[in-house]
Amino acid sequence: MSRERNLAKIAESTFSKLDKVHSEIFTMTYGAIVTTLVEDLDNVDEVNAQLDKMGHNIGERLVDELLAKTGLNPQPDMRYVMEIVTRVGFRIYLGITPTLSNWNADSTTVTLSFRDSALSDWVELPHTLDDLSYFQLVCGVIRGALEMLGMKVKCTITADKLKGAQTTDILVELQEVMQAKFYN
Amino acid sequence: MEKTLKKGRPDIAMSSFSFLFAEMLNYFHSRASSSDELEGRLQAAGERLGLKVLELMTYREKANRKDTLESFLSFISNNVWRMLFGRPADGLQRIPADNSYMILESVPITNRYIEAGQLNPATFITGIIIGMLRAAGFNNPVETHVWKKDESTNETTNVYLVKSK
Repeated sequence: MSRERNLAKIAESTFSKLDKVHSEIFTMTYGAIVTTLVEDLDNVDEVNAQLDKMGHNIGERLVDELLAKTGLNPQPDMRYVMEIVTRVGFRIYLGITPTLSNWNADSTTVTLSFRDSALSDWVELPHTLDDLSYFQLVCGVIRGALEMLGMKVKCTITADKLKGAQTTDILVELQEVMQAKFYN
Repeated sequence: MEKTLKKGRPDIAMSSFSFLFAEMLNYFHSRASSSDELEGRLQAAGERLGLKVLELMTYREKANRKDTLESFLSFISNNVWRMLFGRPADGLQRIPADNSYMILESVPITNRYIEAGQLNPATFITGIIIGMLRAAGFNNPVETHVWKKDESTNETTNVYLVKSK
């Protein structure tokens, strides 16, 4: 069985065992958080930073649960880990599977593309918030999750559906392989 | 508005919500100087959500415009609860003595896996109810209470008490 199909199967069987909710409550709670931060904080950069920080904390906890529930215990191999992130992680925790493309020759950078809006259903950004990265939480999640697996990465949103792009794209760049924080 | 709300099965793991909700609580906690303020902010976040929900649901279910408080609360505790939480609330009761209403829920989604000390995380859901009521033109106050189901056991239920104006 191909690795992709195997991971998809792991995702389905793990998902069937977990407590579930409708994505609406998640999406709308996230919307309320973003609105609150925009009101609270002085500028959009601070909002983006706060979303990234929240995402980082969530990513650390999610990867912990994901490894425990799936029994996966990946080495810090960027290609394999990114497949787990997309085919298992995003599938279970956001109900979507982003695509991976534009791997560089030494497999240290890749682009994740989201065709579904998922997190940003029903969101329209006013022009005063042009610099808001609504997807920044997801960047933080990826960063936090990969850090737990021993990979320090930089995540950058390179295209945003909310700003007219066809897909929302996140560029993930491996910066350093570290000691994994998580041991099975 | 192009998007409508989906009416499918629960489609994501509950931990996504729980961890996000916990981050929101942490954020409020880091900025609030008192537990009243923390509770107020949590409720306000719920109110935003309630406003948005009503906006989307009236768009989808125009035929379902509700006129009386009782029918509107029935809409909330059935349709809205199903959409947000995947099942109806555990009950809606009228208290004839003062014409108030109670929406009952044994285990609110906000209280699963989340330890919040003195704060009842279900205050967020109280906020959702307040936001919807306000958006529909009802301005009844809503309180959150935790009641013992039965004196002999320690089982509790959350009560969202919608008071008469």
